[in-house]
Amino acid sequence: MSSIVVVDDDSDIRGLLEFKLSAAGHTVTAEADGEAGLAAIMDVHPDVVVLDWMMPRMSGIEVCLELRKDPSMADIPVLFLTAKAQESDVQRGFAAGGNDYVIKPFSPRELSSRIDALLARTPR
Amino acid sequence: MSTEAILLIAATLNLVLIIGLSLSTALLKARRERRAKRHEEELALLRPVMMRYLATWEDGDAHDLADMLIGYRGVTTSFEELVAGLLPKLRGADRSVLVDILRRRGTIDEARLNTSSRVAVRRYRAVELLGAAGVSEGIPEAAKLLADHSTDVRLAAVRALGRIGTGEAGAALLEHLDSEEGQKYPLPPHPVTMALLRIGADATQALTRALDAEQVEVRTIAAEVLGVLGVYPAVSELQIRMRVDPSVSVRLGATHALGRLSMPSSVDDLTAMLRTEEDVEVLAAACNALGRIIDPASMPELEQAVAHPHPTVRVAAAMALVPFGETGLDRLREIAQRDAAGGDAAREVLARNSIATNTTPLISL
Repeated sequence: MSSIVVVDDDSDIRGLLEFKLSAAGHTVTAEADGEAGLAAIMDVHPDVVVLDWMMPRMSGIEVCLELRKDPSMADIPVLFLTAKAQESDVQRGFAAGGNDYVIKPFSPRELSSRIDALLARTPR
Repeated sequence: MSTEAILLIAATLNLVLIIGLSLSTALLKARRERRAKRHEEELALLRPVMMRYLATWEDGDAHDLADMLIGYRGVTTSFEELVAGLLPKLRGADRSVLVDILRRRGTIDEARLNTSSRVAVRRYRAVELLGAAGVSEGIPEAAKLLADHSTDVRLAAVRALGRIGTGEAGAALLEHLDSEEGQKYPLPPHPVTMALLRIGADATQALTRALDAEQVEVRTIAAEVLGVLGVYPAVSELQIRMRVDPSVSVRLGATHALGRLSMPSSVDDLTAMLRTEEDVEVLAAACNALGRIIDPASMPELEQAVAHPHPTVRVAAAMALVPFGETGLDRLREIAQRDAAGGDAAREVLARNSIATNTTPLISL
């Protein structure tokens, strides 16, 4: 069983992922803005983070950059889940330290598979 | 009756009226609040069921949740609101599952019926739902609402057809624009163009047919969208439109499209345009198109266009010579020596090219 932090200001997406990932056997913590998300990540030290990009108070990119600065959290895999679909956005997401990038509208099934793949690649 | 008595009666009537109005306002407010509270309660009940169903439907043991969603009959529009909010966020099988629930509980059929409602808000919501669900059975209703007297409903119908995204939806949109009703209830070109782009390759046949439409606006949109979508089989029809269409905007749209498609078979028509066309924008677009195709056969015509009386055409022609590489730059350097007849445009474009490529200008301004 792995722990996952989901940070998204869309309550539907947060709710859906909480149910979906919990049903897959993971422990899920969900937050609605970047600042609260970063605090939750520091608190939980999850196995994977699912991050929206455009959020109030702190963007997903900023959260990811903060994580990569901190040696204790630099290795946590980050999956961006965002509506920003331009090629340059995807590049920016990976440049900020993202490990995977999923564009909204999205398939929760595909997202779940990608999280499993990230978990499988990450040494624990 | 004395004046005092009349004033007293009037004051009493006023007071009664004020109390009556205050009471009815308070009652209306309380009713709205009760409804909003009920709406929130229904959403709080439905949301977890919906999320749980979406999270577990694959496991095959979520039939009871499906039945609960299909059988749910709320007092407010909470179910439709929840689904309309979720649909645009999902794709793939999870989205299809949600649309299936809508079908089975009769929401799609109800939305189709509501497109004929007397209340504009209901028609708007109904067509938005049909679009969000992307169901092709909603095409006739959405197409009918393109002629709705409410602009908001008409625009929602355009978006819905774009989201439904089939060739039939594209055809319905273009046919409406070219009809008498389309003239009576006009639609702004931008949302129509966006809807057609969203439909994409499936709209190709309808767009190609629309190049022969009666209305200038329809032919223009069709030409531009065919270019953006990169529909190569439409090249010959676009060439015809560029050559013979009486409307400048259609010729311009077709020229833009041929530039985007950049097929060498367009070179003869484009160079012929440089000799015969009178509109400055179309001429500049033809130069741009030739600059994209980069066929050496078009260089003499472009060199002549650098000497065109209008500066827009001169600069467009000079810029079109840059992609030809050293050959084109050499021609520009020769032209730049002239005091008139395009020397100004050639010098500007050479200077711009030097800045862009970080090289020393070979000719001074």
